[in-house]
Amino acid sequence: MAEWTYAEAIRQALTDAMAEDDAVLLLGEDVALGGPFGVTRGLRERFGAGRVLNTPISEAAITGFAVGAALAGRRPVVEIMFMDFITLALDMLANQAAKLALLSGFQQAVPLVVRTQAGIYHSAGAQHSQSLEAWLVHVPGLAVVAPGVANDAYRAVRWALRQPGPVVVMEHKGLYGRRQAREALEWDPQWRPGPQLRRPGRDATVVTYSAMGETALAAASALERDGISVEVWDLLGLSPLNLEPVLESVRRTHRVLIVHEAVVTGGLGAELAARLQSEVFDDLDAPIFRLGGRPVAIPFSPPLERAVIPSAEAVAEAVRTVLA
Amino acid sequence: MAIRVEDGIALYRAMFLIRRFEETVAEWVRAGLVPGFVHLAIGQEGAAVGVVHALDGRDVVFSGHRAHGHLLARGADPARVLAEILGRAEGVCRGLGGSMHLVDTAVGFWGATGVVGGTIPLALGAAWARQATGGVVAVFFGDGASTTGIFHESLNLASLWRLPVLFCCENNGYAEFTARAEQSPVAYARRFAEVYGIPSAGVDGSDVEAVFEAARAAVAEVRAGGPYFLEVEVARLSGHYEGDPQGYRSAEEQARQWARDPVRRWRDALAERGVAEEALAAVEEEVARQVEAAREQAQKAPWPDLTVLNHG
Amino acid sequence: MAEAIRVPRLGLGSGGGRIAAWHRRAGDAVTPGAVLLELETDKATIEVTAEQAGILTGVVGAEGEWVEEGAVLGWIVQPGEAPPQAEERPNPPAGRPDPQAPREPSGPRVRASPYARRLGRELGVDLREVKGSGPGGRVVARDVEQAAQSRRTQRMRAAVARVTAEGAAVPSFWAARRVEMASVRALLEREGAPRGVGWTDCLLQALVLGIAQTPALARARRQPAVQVGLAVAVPGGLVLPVLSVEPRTGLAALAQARRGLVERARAGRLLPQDVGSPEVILSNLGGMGVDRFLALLAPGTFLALAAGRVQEGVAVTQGAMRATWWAEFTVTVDHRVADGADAARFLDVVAQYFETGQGLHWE
Repeated sequence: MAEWTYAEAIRQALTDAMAEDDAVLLLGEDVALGGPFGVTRGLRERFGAGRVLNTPISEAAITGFAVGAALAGRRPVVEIMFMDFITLALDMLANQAAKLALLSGFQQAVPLVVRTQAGIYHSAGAQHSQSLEAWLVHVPGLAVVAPGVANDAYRAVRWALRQPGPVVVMEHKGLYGRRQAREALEWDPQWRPGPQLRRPGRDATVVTYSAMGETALAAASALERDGISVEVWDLLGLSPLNLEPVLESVRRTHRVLIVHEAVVTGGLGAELAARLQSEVFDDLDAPIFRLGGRPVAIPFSPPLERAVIPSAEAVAEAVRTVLA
Repeated sequence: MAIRVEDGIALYRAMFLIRRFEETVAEWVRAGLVPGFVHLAIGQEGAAVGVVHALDGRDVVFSGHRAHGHLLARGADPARVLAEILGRAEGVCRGLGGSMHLVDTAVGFWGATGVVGGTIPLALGAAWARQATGGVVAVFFGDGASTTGIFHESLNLASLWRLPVLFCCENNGYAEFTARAEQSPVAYARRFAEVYGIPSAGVDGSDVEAVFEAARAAVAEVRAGGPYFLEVEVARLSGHYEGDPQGYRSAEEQARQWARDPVRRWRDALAERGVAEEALAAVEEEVARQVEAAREQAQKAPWPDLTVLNHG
Repeated sequence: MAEAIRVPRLGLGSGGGRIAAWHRRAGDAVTPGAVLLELETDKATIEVTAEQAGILTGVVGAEGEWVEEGAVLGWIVQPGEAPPQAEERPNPPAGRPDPQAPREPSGPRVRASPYARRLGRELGVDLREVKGSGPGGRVVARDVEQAAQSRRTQRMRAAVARVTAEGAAVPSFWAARRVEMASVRALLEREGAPRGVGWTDCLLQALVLGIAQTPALARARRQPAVQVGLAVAVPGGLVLPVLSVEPRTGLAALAQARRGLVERARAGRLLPQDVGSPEVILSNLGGMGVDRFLALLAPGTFLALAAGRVQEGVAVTQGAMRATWWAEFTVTVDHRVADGADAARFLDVVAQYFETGQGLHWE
C-alpha cells in the first residue's frame, strides 16, 4: 500500500479542495514558496497567484482579510506560520471570525480555515514551539482540530473546508515527516473529527491528541511488557468535543490519564477531566490524572526542551500512578 | 460646482433622519431604556451622508463602533435599527448584535465593530473577493483607529495589492475620551496614507456638499483601481458614548463645536439657495413622523427567545 | 390483575438472598421480561423479572438487605389499579431503610473511589469493612470485588458445610461399577455427531433412564421430569444449579440446556428457574482426571451419581484381551428410599446405556 507523510496528506487535501471548489484560496507568509515546512509547495504553480497569495508579515491583517473574503463567499485558508504567532491574529479570530455569524443574526457566515503548526521540534525555541489550543477552544464559534496522523490530517483539512464557520487546524511540526499507509482518498461527507482509537486496552484509558498520540503509544507498548494494557484515544477534534467513545472506554477501564504537550495549567486536559468526571463519576476508580508540559517557557537547549514535555517514560509512569 | 437642489434636499433628509434618530436614542438612554453602550453620530451626519451617497448598489460598507448614521444613510429601515439597539427580535440582527455590531447585508452594510479598527482588514478581503463586481468597499473608522497596528497592516496590504477600498476616517479630534493631540504626534491620519502610497484628501465634515464631492472623486479613483484615503474632519457633538459627562472638554469648546453642526449648516445653505422654508419644514415633518413610527414599532417589538441562538 | 414480585426459591440451603440492586423504581412502567432487581445468594446473582406489563409499585426491600424466600418485594399493577391490600403485603421489619433513599454508611467517611462505591452498592459490600489497597488506603474496585468474592466464598463454604452435614445425617449407602464406554465414545466422536454433546449430557440421559427403570427410585422422584442438581465448580466453591430432565429429552437439547446453565453458574448469573430444589445430584469429575469418588447426598436428594474419568484399558472377553475405554461410576442412595439391589439395578441400566447405546437418543 502506498504511504504518505503528514505534510503530503495536508497538501493533498488542499489540492483536492482547491480543484473541487474555486472559492478555496490560500494565503500566508511564504505560502507561494511552500512555507517553512514545504506543506504548500507547488500549489502556486498549479492554481496561480490569484488563489495562492503570498502576504506580508501581518498576521492580523491577513486573518482579517480572510474574514472579509469569507464574508464575500470565498473559502480562505490562512496559514499562520507558527502557532506562537496566532497571538497576533487572535483579535481577528476571537472577536471577528468566531462572532460575526451570531452578531449578524446569522445574516453572515465566516467559512474560514486557519492552518497553523505547534509543538516542540529541534530547538525552535520559546516563541516557535508552543501549543496554544486551550486559548482557541475557549472561544465559542471557533472549531479546533489537531490531527495526529497523516490520514486524519487529510480528512481534517477536507472537513474544515466544508464547515460553515471558522476552523483552526492545529498541525504539529514534528509530525510533518511521519509516514502512514495512505487510506482511500474518497472523501466521505459524513466524516466528523471525533476520537480515534489508536490502541485497545483493558486497564486504563489514555486520552491524548496531536503528536502525543505517538508518545502514548510508545508508553503503551512499554507497559504491555509488564502486563499492563492501556487503551489510547486520539481526540482529533478539540472543539467541539465529542467524548462519547472515550466515555465508553472509561466505563470499561475505570481509570484515565490525559496527556497533552501544552502546558498543563489551564490546558485542555482540565476541560477533559471536568467533562469526564461529570459524565462517568461513578465509574472512576482513581482520580483523573493530567500530564502536560511544564509551566515554563520552552527552553532552547535540546535536553531541556525534551524535558519540559511528556516523554513516553513519563506517560508510562503516570499510567502506573493512575493504576495504583 | 453646486449640486442639484433635489439632491441637496435628499442629503438634508438623510442627515435629518440620522439627527432625529440619534436624538431619539439619546432620549431613550436618558430614560434608561437602552441596554449596553451606544455611540451617537450627532455632529457627524455630514460624513456619513456625504460618503454613502457617493456609493451605489454594487458597493459595500463597513463601519466602526459609531455606526448608526452609516447604516441609516445606506437605507436601512430605522424601525429595525432601533429595534436592534433595544435588543429586540425584530432588530436587523435579531437582537444579537446591538448598537456596536450592526449588520444589514440587504443594504450592503456588512458590519460594525466594538473593537476599534476591527473591520478595516475585513474591508480589504471583501474588496479583493468582490473585484469582479466592480464594487468598492468603504470602511469608516475614527481617528483613534489610526494608532492601531491593524490600521497600518491594512493600509500596507491594501496599497500593496491595489485593493478597491475607500478608507474613510472620521476625524472628530477625540479618540474615546482623549484628544487627538495626546494620542498621536500626527494630527491627520491621512498623513499615514501618504507613506503607504495611498492617494488621500481631507474634507470639512460640516459641509456635506464638500464631503459628497470629495467622496465622489475618491470612489471614482477606487473604481479605477486601488485604495483611497478620505479624512473627514467632523465635530463630535455628543460624548464618546451617550451619557459621557465629557469632563475632558470645556463648555466653550463644546459650544464652539455646534457652529460646525452639518445639519444646521446645510439647512441654511439650502435656504440661501432659495429652497423655501415650507419645503424644509415639510421634510423635517415627514422625517419626524417616520422616526416616531419607527420608535413605536421598535418599542412594541418582542424580545428574542433563546432558540435564536440555535441557528448556527 | 396485580402481580406479586416474590423472592423466588433460591435453592439449596440459602433460604433467601440479598438484594443486590433494584433496576426499576416504584412508578416505573415495565414490560414482561424486564429485569426488576438482582438477588444475590450464596451461589449466584439471580435476576428477578416481570411476568406481565404494568407499573411497579409497593416496593419494599433495600439494596443490600436480606430477604426470605417467598417474600413479596413489590407489585406490578395495571394503570388505575389500586395497590394490593395492606394485609397481603408483608410488613417490612422495623428499622428497614426506605429503598428509595440513598444509603450512606454512618460513621467516619470511608475513602473510596466513586467506582468502588458503586460496586459496593451493587454487590452489597459495606465499604467500612473493606481494607483499601489504593493510594492512601483508598478503597478501590479490586478491594470491593475481592470482598464480595471472599464473602461469596465464605457463604459458599458455609453452605457446603451445612449441606454436607445435613446430607451426612441421611442414612445412605453406596455402590460402584466399572462401565465400558467405548461404543458411546465412538458415537460421540463419529463424523457428523452433533457438536457440543459431551459425557455429562450422556450421563444426564443415563441417570434419568436408570431412575425411570428402577421402580423404587422411580417412586421417589416427584414427577417424570427429574430435577437434577448439576455440581458445578466455581471460584471459591461449588454450586448446584438445577436442570429439569425428562427421559425423552434428546442429547442435543440436553447439551444446549446444560451449557447455558453451566455458563450462568460460572458467571454468577443464575436465573430463578436454575435454582430449584434438586432431587438427585450428578457430579462428573472425570474431566479433572479423578478415577473414582463418592458424591454425598444433599438435603432433599435421594441419589447422587459420581462419574470418574473415561480412560483406556483392557477388557477380557472369553479369555481374549482387547483394548477398550472404561469409566467408574459410584452411586450414593438414600437408604430410606431404596436398597442395594435397587442401586445395582440402576447401575445396570446405566452400564447398558454406555455399553450398548440402549436408550441413547439424540433428539
